[in-house]
Amino acid sequence: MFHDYHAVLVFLIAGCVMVCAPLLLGALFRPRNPYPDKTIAYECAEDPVGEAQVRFDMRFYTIALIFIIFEVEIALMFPWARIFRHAADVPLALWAGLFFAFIVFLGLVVDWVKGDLDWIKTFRNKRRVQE
Amino acid sequence: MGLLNNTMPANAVTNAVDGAVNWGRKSSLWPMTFGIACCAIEMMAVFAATYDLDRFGAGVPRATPRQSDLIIVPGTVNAKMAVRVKRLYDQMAEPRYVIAMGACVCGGGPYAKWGYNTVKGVHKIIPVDIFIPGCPPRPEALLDGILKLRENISRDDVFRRRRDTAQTLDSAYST
Repeated sequence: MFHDYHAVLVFLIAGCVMVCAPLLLGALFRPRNPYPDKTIAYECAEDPVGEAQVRFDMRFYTIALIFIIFEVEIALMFPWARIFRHAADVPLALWAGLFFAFIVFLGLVVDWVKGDLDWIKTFRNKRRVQE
Repeated sequence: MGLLNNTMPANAVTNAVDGAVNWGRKSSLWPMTFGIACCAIEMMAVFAATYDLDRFGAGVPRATPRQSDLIIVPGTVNAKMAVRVKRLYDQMAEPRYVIAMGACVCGGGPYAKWGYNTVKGVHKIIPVDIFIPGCPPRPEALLDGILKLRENISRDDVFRRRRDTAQTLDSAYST
């Protein structure tokens, strides 16, 4: 019954060879010459400063999310403003654009009410928990 | 160096393999995104559509020396920059090639006599394969330099025992 699976075995072996052969060939061909000046971190040829794994404040996370809201708004408002004058129905285009801006503004209001715009929000959240 | 690099005697087989490897190397040069002074403007013109360096497989400048094997030094190298140029060269992948572009890089140029801060030729810091004089050289001159570099690469020793080439200079510099 396993005779049917010979092809799978062949494919497995061929796959392994096709992965390993280029690696082996590369090891035979490529120059290998590490030395301290070469292995140092690349920072535009300056001496590396600090560590790569720096901790960021978690509060930047919400700031970044809010930024994305307005980035999307700007990105979509530009083409709207560009073709605004040539729209078939200018008042409709105006109201559509304002409606879109209003939706995005609602997102800002939600963030505002939830206190995401406050850098220090410990007290506020505590009070909310007590309520 | 690699396991088999420069270990074989020169015979028909190693000549053929070296030819194949060199053909691959010269046909896919990766220059580094690196410009110092006015020659860099001409260099950018070479990368752009009119002169189209991509015809020779070297048209995509890489943003990091780890991915590049050709550094075109375009512009005046002063003493402060020389340290950086040396380190950038050090951080490039091997085998690596250097093109000195412009009079300043070839020997100081207009600053050769009175320039108090100019390195009088980048060959004092890193081993140079091709010198391209001119102030600045025309894009055609840089194209010609890259073609000359391709000729150099096609004569390189990969498996064959090394003759006295720029690469021995290279190892002498890197220690």
